[in-house]
Amino acid sequence: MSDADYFERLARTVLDGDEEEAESVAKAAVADGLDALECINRGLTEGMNRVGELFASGDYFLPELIMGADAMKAALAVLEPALLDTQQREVLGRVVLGTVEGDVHDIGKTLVGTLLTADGFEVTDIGFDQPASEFVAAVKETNADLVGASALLTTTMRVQAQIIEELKAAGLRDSVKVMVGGAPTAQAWADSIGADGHAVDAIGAVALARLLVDAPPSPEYDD
Amino acid sequence: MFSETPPIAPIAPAYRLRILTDEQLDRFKAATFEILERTGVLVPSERALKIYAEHGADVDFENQIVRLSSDVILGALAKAPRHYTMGGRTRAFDLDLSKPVTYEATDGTGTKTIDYVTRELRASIKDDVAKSARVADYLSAISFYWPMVSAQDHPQAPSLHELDAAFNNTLKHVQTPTVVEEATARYAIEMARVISGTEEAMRAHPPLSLLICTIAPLAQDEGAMDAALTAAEAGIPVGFMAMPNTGSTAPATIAGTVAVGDAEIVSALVLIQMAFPGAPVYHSFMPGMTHPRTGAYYGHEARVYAMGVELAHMWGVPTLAGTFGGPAQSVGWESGLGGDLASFLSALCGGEMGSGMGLLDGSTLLHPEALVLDAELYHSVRVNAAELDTSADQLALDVIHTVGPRGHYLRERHTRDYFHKMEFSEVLHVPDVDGSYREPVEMARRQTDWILDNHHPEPLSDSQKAELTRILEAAENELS
Repeated sequence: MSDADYFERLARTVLDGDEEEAESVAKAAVADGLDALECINRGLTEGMNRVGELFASGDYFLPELIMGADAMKAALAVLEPALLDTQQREVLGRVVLGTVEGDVHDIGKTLVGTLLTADGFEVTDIGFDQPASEFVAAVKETNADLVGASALLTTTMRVQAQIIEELKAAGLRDSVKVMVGGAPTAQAWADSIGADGHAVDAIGAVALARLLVDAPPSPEYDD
Repeated sequence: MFSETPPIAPIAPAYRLRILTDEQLDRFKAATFEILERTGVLVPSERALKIYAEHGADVDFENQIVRLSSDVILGALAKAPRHYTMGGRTRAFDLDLSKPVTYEATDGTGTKTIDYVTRELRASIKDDVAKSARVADYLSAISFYWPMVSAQDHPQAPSLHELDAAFNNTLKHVQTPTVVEEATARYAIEMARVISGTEEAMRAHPPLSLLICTIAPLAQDEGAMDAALTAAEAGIPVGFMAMPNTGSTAPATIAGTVAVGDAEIVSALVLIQMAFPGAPVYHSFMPGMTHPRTGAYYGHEARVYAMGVELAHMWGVPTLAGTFGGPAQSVGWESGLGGDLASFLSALCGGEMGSGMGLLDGSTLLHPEALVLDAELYHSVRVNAAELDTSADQLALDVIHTVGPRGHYLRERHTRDYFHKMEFSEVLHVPDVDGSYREPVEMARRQTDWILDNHHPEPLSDSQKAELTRILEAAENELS
């Protein structure tokens, strides 16, 4: 099988959202001595770009985005350890993501994480019901560029403000951008607590994250 | 090159309801018997009066009043077919009225148009009929087409030009409420014969049907009844629509309005069966409400139109129910009011046909977005009435077990597959880039523009087009 065939097969596993096949093809590519970075860039990323295009055109829905991202993740688990010391997968930014303390709603947050990962961000998902201090600790630990805080309740959205205050207290606010989301939140809320941005859904969160790290807009998610 | 006409999507209710009890229906039947036997109806047509007289009616020729006994009524109506087929241009667009579904149509026949391109409000023209027929041809909500506006740029024979525009721009059955003279009916039948190809084909699958209005209270129109008789003789289905207005041309009660309207319709149905036993006919009860201060009319509550379905079935004929249409002068909250409910109730009562989609301002104004917006409401009705699939794959227990507590279903193949099987509107809940939803009216405008730019139904053959033109010319010569 040629290198081009491998890249196309990897792209196809992402398009089909086939995790098992993605892992299997990645292993075969590594065993055949293909360049792992090229497999990522010309296979997986290309596949994810095509998924994004199909999503933008209305042919794909959220499950295809998520399943494509899962397939990509499964192949990356094989390919990233095979990168040469001199190689590094291009990352748009590092993101700490979580649902705030007192709030157990995490599907939206998880969806944001999946799409950010697929778009080229490195995501650290700290889970749900997380106090502000955990967000700050994760930022320190990962040297994050972005924090994403999700709240689905009017009673828990105030924790988003606490996170900003604790980032300030820790001297990290200038080095990290904060984006907030969740059903009760809005741009006006984000402005009032000094957040850097607000998104109403996962697609919007990807666009916002790109904006906050000065990356060009993702064409797949533009209408 | 032409584009395929999407299949029609009639409402197929999985459950039923009754609005009137058997006792109430019996009272209405008795009321119609009493009105027609005692007061009778005014029939200013010599041809019709003779037919009535020859078949047992009590006819006062001097005053043109016809009185009918219950035996005469029941004897005539026993010959009316309960079911028949109304033809499309191709068999895929036939309307089989024996199926347990409701077919719905556009509204008609308005006199004003907001131009599809310039948005200018002006008098309607033939091209508006052509354009609206193309939009209707594309929409699966529309099972048959009423010429939506009048071809006022062809004053010699507007109704025939409306048919010409309709036949040239849709494969769906065409029903006209504006063929109301005997001579016009003859030409309309000729046009239908051209569409069908042969006399036999036209009778088996008539591509045209007529809707004739009775005159409230308790009268028929001379020209319209002659047109009805001419059409019935040719095997063209004929319906009679009563539009009594509660408080002005009918008593100020719903029951009284029903009684007057039903008597008018029944008297006309009886005439057709006396003249041409077995001719396809239908019953249509579309009353209005008189505004007590202005005298203007507006629609009744939805159930009144669904009652018409039960009246028709009581007499053993199919129905055309009034479903959409209303007094709103622009698209908005008011224009979406009630049409879907009337459609829903009529379908659950077993109505065979309904009409009224796409016009505003009391069925006088063609508005570019209105038909697509009404089609959305129609589809909501269709989905709400449809059977719920509870098969094993739909119950999805395997997936529920796989995901378990606190998971989500967005990464399941089952979800992916079913998302693609679901119907999603192109008007409602269309996401915008900022995560909000696009304005439905704006989306309806876009869809309408897209249809007009891209949908061009299969044309008639050159010889058919030439024949229609010849018929129009002959009609204009005679009628002018």
